[in-house]
Amino acid sequence: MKKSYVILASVLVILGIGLIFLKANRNTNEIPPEVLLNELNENTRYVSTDELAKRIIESDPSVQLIDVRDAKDALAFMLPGAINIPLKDLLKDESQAVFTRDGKDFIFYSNGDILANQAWILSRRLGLNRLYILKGGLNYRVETILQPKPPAATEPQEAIDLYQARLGASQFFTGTTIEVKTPEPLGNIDLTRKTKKKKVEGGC
Amino acid sequence: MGPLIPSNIIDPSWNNVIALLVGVAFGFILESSGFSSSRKLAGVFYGYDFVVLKVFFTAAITAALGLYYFQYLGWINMSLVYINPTYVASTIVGGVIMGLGFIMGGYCPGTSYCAAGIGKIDAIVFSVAMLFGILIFSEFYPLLEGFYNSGFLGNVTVYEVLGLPVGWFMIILIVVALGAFFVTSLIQDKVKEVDY
Repeated sequence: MKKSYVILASVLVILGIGLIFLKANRNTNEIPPEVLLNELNENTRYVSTDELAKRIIESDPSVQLIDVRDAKDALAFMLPGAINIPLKDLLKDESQAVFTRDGKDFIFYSNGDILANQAWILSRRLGLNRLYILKGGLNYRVETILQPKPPAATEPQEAIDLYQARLGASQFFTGTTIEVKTPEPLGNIDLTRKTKKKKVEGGC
Repeated sequence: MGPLIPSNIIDPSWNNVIALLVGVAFGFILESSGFSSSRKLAGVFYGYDFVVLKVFFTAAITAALGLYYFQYLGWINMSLVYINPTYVASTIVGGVIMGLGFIMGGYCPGTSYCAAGIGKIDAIVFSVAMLFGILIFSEFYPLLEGFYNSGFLGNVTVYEVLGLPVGWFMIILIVVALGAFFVTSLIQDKVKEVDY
């Protein structure tokens, strides 16, 4: 055997033995509390119900909705394309497997904000990225998207445009159609021409 | 300090540029070490050339040693280093399929592009066939999805699964590698030399 092989092999063995005696330098991937606090204050984690509706209608492939309510609630109703991960199961391996999907924006939602926010904080502490929350949750979605209130006539054009968009989204999600008032047919119209009275001509 | 991109020392938009440069360097070194020859690569299965085993095993233990020493010196934060998720069942089946392709075609995916780059016809056929295989897999993905995601263990490392400290695992790996190098060189001496 060549001498150089023996030397190289012993270098590897010595370096390997060295590792045993080095103090294990464990740093966790939890994000520091200051960073988490900043992110909590920034409010960039929220996705509005309007934006979500738009992305679902456009079938945006980067949307991954995650329903953090109980399985019972989720069985009753889930948003299209959502996965149910109840908050208590968030840390299980099969739940964490969902977050390994590349190129996805993970949007948590619950009935309100609270459960989704808890899921968001836990997942951020696990070092996961691209996490969002549906602002106001399903309740606010019903209020804004499914049953939008018409704006007052005095409101600016933006409010009216938003209302129109919400009406459209409502149709998309519920399948209802906008009521269009059809004019009532007119009755028989008497089209007989009136006979002109002969004007008295002449005279003095 | 490191890894440089996840720690925002280098902007993430440099990702593809750096990947390209590393890829060019990797391809150049593969080619200049003779890894563009399908006979040399297939030699590991027939026992006349174990250079594939030696090179990749050495690369793995050198890189692992380097990473853990860097971590000790505080040059790299290992918790930010991406670890591929492990899916046991699909990895085993995928490994068998890839091994069969390797024996039949004489290339693994990286070396096939490397050899296609210098104009080897067998490598060009192999690369095109590989793309065809990817197409078939993608088309059947809805059927295979359940199996594809089965046996998920998370982003784990071997020593975590075995419950060993890193140091002990590394020394075992080094001894296994050196043993493999020694045994394969004995086999190589016994097998008739192949001229290629």
